Order: sequence, then structure tokens, then C-alpha cells
Amino acid sequence: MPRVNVKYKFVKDAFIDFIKLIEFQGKKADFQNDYIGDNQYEGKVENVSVMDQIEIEIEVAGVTDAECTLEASIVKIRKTGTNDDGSPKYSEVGETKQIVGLPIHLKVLNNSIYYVKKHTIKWV
Amino acid sequence: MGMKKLILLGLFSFILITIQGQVLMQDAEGHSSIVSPGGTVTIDISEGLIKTNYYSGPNDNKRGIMWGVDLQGKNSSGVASLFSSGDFSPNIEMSGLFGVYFSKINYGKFSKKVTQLENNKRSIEQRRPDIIDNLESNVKPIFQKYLDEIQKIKPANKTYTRLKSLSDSYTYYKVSEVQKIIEDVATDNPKINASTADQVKVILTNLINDIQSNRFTKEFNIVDSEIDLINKKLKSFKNDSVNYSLKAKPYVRFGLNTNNFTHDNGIDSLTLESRFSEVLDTKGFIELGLTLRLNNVFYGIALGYSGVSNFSALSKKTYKLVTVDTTLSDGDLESTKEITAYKGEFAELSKYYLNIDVIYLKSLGKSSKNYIGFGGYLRSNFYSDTDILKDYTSLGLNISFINGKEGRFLGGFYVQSNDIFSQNQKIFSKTISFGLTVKFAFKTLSFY
Repeated sequence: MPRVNVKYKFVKDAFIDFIKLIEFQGKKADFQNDYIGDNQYEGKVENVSVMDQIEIEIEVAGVTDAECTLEASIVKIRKTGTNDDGSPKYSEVGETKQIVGLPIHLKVLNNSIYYVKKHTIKWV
Repeated sequence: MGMKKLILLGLFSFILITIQGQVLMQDAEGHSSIVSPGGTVTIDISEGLIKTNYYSGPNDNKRGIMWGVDLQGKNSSGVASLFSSGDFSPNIEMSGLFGVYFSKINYGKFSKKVTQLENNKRSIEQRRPDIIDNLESNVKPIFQKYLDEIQKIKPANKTYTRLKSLSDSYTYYKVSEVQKIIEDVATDNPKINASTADQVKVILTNLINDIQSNRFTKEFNIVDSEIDLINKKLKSFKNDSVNYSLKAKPYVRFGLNTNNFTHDNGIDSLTLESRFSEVLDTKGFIELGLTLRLNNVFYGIALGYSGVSNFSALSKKTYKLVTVDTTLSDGDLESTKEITAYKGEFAELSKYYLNIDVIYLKSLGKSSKNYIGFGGYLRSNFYSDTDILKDYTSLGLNISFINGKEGRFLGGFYVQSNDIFSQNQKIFSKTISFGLTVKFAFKTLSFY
């Protein structure tokens, strides 16, 4: 099955003060550890199972009208061995693939905003 | 000081340099009970105040810890004296802050339903990788078998290409796409004869039947539609207008306040040494505070205890010490030394205080990143001995402009009564101070 790593970048206004979730196909982004400064997050969500679409879920809270943007792309991974603890080891293979409909721009309404949508992967 | 100069100082009293931070509210003393991540440098010309602070951040998670430091220098002789070694009385305040924060989105009457749906979704999501695995290992080979059959029929080249792209784009499980290909067999392949077209259609129809009846395809489609249904409900519940969000930051702040000055011990002293003494007045303080954002309103409240002296009630005097040198044969030589000292009985006492800040933020328009803030603050101070220092309450109102994208303070206006109940100053108009807050960008520094 196609397993992918999702590379994402999330930029938010300072008045968004709570990121409840950023998920790709149900897998959470570890945004706490992906903070790069200036209200920006950049990281990777590994080993996500997808077919032709990837579900993106974002929920944030803050002051009304504050905005955020999510950009993401995927790269296929392949099992290339085993880690010391016996778990499968994956390596990225092939080109980075784009996701249709990105970047996602959101504006806080009623002090929070929830976004969930399936986005088609540009495999070919 | 002339009136014009006083007005100018009042108008341009604050210069705030914000470094990736928010300055939502600050009184004339540079204090706020609203704690926001980031760093600021404040220069208040009229108050002779320089303040720098840093609060950890961002605090975007559901819960976590936070910390911060403040360092403030203040001088009654004006800001310039803070940089010189003149006869000024520097007041240094340094403090540390430790706290926690909690964030919450409340879905009101939908709360239980949202939790239930989220749990359902999570359990389905956990099954999804296996379901996709099954699709790939069981359904894809079926698709591949039919694809190979179509490849052998040369006049159906275009049909093969379209079918292959379904495989390459992982949409082979979507029979509706195969149905479209069946409908287009004749138009896609102009040179194909009727019987070959029929043969292709039969193969593709068998493909549809095989995929449709496969239990792994059924399982995938069921899970997919279950998730679609959950998402639809979640979207409607979570984006309902009755929802609200809040962020709470309870904290403890503690620190030291030092004041260094020369004290005039009074006329009973017979020598210069006994008349004037250097006093290093160091006092500690501790406060419990809470910053709360509820929707678009920020609230701050802090209750504190502080050791204080009556330094502010002492009167400032400047003396001249004249020494005459009579050793010269052709005249007397006089040397003059100025001594600035504070006169009055020096006393130490306790202060209890209550600080409240409120600010409401309103966006300045759909295309603007800027917000206008309407705020107010209250500072109530109660002393252990009101014969020495009288209780007083300050009240301030301000309007400020803030860039919501960067959380940068842009400027604003404040008016403050230093003694709203006229406990120290009977003429109310004399308790009022006002100022324009201006901001200078300091983009070369970044704390994060």
C-alpha cells in the first residue's frame, strides 16, 4: 500500500493561541516540537497510509479574524530494513508529490475554526 | 519645566520596542497582569522608565508551562539620568514568573456528541491502514489482471492508458471511474470495431463486478463513508456560532525591588558622615495572577504582597557643602560639593495590591491584519500603616492598535488617574496623566 511521509508548514497569526490539532489522515503533527519561530511550524508526519486522497484536519482557536495557512506535500516511503528495536525501517523514495487544493487558508470565526477535507494527491 | 515641554513629554511618553511579542496592556508604571509570549523593550520618557521583559512561547498547546523575566529601571529624575552617574535615585525591579496554561474550545450543547464522534473517528482511523493494505494486496491484483487483458487488445490503446492511470493514481477501487471508461470506449478508440469494443466493455464490466463484490473494497468504501459522515457532523458542531474558546494562564510572579538613595538624617547630626547615609532599600514582592482570554477579550488579575518603604513620601533636597582652603598666602580657596539627599523619617511597611486589566480586541476589517483594543486597568494599593502611606487606587483607560499577525503593538493612547478616589490628592484633575504610546520596530532581534 502507498505509505507516505507528509511534509508540512503551518503559519499562523499571533492571535491564534491554541492549535488543537493538525492531522493528516488521522495522524497528528507533532507541532509542539516543529516550532521554528515567528509563529511558524515546519515538520514531517511519518508513515501515513493513503490511496488517492489524503484527509487534512485543522482546528485552532484565538481572536476572531486571525488567520493561518497550511502547506503540505508528500513523498512515498518504502521499507528498507529493520530498526534495532525490530520495527520496520522506511526510506523516502521518488519525487515529492503535490496535494490538490493547497495551501489551505483559514480565518478564525467565532473564536475557533475547524477544517476537515479530503484532498486529492497528484500521483501522476 | 515649561508647559509645552511637559505636554510633549506626556504625549510621547512611551516608546515600545516589541520583539515578536504582544503588549496588550501596560500602565504608566510599566505593569500588566496580562501575560503574553514574546519580548518587549519599553522606554517611558516622562516616567523615566526603561523596562525589558521576555515571556516564553508560543503557548499554543492544550496545556503547558510558561516562564518569564522582567527587568525595569526607573528614575524620578528622568530617563536620561538612568544612563549617567549623576545624582539620581535608581529604582531597579527584577522579577521572574512561572505559570501554566490551559486552552479550551467549548462546543456547548454539542460537547458530548463531539467527544463521541472524535472517539469513533479515532477508532476507525486506527483500522484504516490495515484496510488500505488489504485493498492493495487483494483488489489491486484483480485490477491488474483485467488491465493486462485490455493491454493485449491493441485497438483499445486509449482505454488501456486511462485504465493504467487509475492504477497509477490509486483510484482503481473507484468503479465509477471504470464506468466512465466503458462509456467512452468507442470515442476513445476511433479505429476499434464494434465486436472488439463489446469485448472490451465485457472485460471492464467483469472488472467492475469483481471489484464491487470484493469484501475489501466494500470494507474500504464503508469506512470511507463512515468517516465522511462523522466529518460532516463534526464540521457542523465544531463551527457552530455558540461555541467559545478560552485560554487561562495562572502564574506566580516574584522579585525584588531595590532603591538606592542618600538619606538626610536630620539636623541633630554634627558631622557630614552622620548627617547623610547611603540607603540600599531592597524589598521583595510576590503575586498570584491569572491571564484569561475568553473569545476576543483578555482579562488579567493579580493579587500581591510587597514590602515597601516611604521613599516616595520623602522630600528631595539639594545641599551645597562649602570647604574653605586657607593654606594659600594670596587668598582663600572655596570648593563646593552638591549633595542630593532625601529628607524625612524613613519607614518600612507592607503593601497589598490588586491589579486588574481588561482589553477587548476588534479587527479593523476583513483585509486588515490590525486590531483596535479598548482597554482599562485598575491598580489598588493598601498599606499596613496608612499614617505613613495612604491607600490609593489608579484607574486607566486606553485605546491601542495591534498587528494581529505578528502580535506587535503599533501605538495607542492612554489616560490614567493616579488616585481615582482622591485619597492622597484632593484635586482630582491633578491625579490625571495621559500619553501617546508609540512603537519602534526592532526587527533585527528575535527571541525564538
